[in-house]
Amino acid sequence: MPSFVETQLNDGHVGTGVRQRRSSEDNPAERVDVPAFIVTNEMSDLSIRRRVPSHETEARGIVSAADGAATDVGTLASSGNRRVTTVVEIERRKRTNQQRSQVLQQWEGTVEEVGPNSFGARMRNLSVDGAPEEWATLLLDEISDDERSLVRPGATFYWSIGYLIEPYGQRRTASTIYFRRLPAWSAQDHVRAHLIADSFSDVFSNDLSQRSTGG
Amino acid sequence: MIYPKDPPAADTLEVSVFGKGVGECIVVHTGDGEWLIADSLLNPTSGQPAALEYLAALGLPASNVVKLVVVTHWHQDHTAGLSQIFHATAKAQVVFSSAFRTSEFRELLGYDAILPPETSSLAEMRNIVGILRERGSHFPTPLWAVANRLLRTTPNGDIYSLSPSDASIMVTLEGFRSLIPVAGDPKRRFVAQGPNDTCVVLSIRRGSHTIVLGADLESGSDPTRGWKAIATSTTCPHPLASAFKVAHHGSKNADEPSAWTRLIGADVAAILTPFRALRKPLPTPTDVERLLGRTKNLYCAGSRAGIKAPSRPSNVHKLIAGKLHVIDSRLGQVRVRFPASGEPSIEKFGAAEHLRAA
Repeated sequence: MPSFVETQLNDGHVGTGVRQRRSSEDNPAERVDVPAFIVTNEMSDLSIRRRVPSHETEARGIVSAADGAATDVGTLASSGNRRVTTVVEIERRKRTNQQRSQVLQQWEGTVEEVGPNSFGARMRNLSVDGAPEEWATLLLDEISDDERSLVRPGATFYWSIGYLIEPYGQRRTASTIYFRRLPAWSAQDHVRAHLIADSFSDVFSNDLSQRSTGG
Repeated sequence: MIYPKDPPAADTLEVSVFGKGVGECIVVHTGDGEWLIADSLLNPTSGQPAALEYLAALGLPASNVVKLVVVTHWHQDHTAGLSQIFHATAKAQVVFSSAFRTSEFRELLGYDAILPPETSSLAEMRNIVGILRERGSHFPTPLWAVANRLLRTTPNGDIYSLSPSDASIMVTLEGFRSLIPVAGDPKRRFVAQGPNDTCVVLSIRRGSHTIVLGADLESGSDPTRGWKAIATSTTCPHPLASAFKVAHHGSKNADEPSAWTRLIGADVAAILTPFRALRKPLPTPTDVERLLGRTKNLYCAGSRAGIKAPSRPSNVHKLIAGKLHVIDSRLGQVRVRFPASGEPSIEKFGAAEHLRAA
């Protein structure tokens, strides 16, 4: 079942609206100021389910004069020409990206060697200033299928360990590895690399006649 | 680490090997106030090249006394701070592997220059080239090391490069080519792959004493490459070595039995450096056991154990168990001196250890 939030907004989608969670034994009523633009669906976790017809709001007691939410809306709307209250029913979206994460420790790694089942990397701790460099031996199984091809010597990746926090607060420990995707070598890069290489040719020149031999 | 402060006598051949979790540097007094530096590491406490700090502790001006700076190969555990050393040693001539004198390596330098700085692995090499260009044509050209090349004559001795062999250079060029990206390849750090048989191994003689610095040279089955090529060569005129910087952190793939019999004397002072940036850090207990079978004078410059890991929340600790180990370890120095007359001495400083049978 979706979690419903009843929201009253001043008409015209400006200013600040008031969101009120329906009271129940498990979820006591709460009032939170929310930006009115939630009706434009820009808020990630809320969307308008439907406008609630007035006969229904009256039946549910939402727009009663005694309701604090209604009073607040009225106050906000007073700067406008009319006092119009629209009641919409908001549904919390079921989206996986509602998960939040809490990083406990993070490293930047450089792949040094790749074996048939594992790879080795030098790791720089990004969470602890001045931490010593470490070596990690990680299983290729820990890498997602679409990133497996990136596991090559010299590749940079990030390893985070922490919690994934579900929308309703459940926490579980998680280890996440993702690889840095630098842009590919371009034709322009190749030209530039060759120009730089050519600029070194005096030092690496076979013609030593212009130089002393030292000793 | 507190460096020793007593400079060697003019007639003393001295080698100091510096090591830590990742990094290697060798400083040699070739005699008569002349010094050589091969590779570089940074002191983890000061962030400065250990070689320069040691010479300063001895009260010697690096700008005058260092005659050769040797880049044995381009791996970062050997090049950290090398351009700083070269910049500070205005009288020094730089020695590169001949494999670097190729268009393939130059090209690699060019591509590396385009990568984001934190992804570059050849910045030190490029900086040295930059210093050479700044110094201009009045300054000595780089020396290009190949097997059995006389690099320098000293008052009572000489310095030879024993590698790379021609065959090794050819194979390494293939390696360089394989690293050069083609259009559409994702950008990433250049990491050398395959056996390391292009590094510069040095033989340094003064009087009757020889020091062999093995760099990271490895050995395979090909008699024309790596240690096998050196062992079968009859060109180098030096007597058997009295001190040996063990190649490639004591790993088995750098241990060529015929090289020990052809180049290394009995009871040699053998010094290795640790390398902890591997799943199984080097030297392994098996490596130590094998090397102790060759000499009882086996030393490790730098601690083989990593420093303490930072404290972590217990749930993090649980998730990373067995996957991480600290690379960094404490700096150490092993110093061997061969006076013209009298007994040689071996000293250890900082985290260096004398390795003994378990």
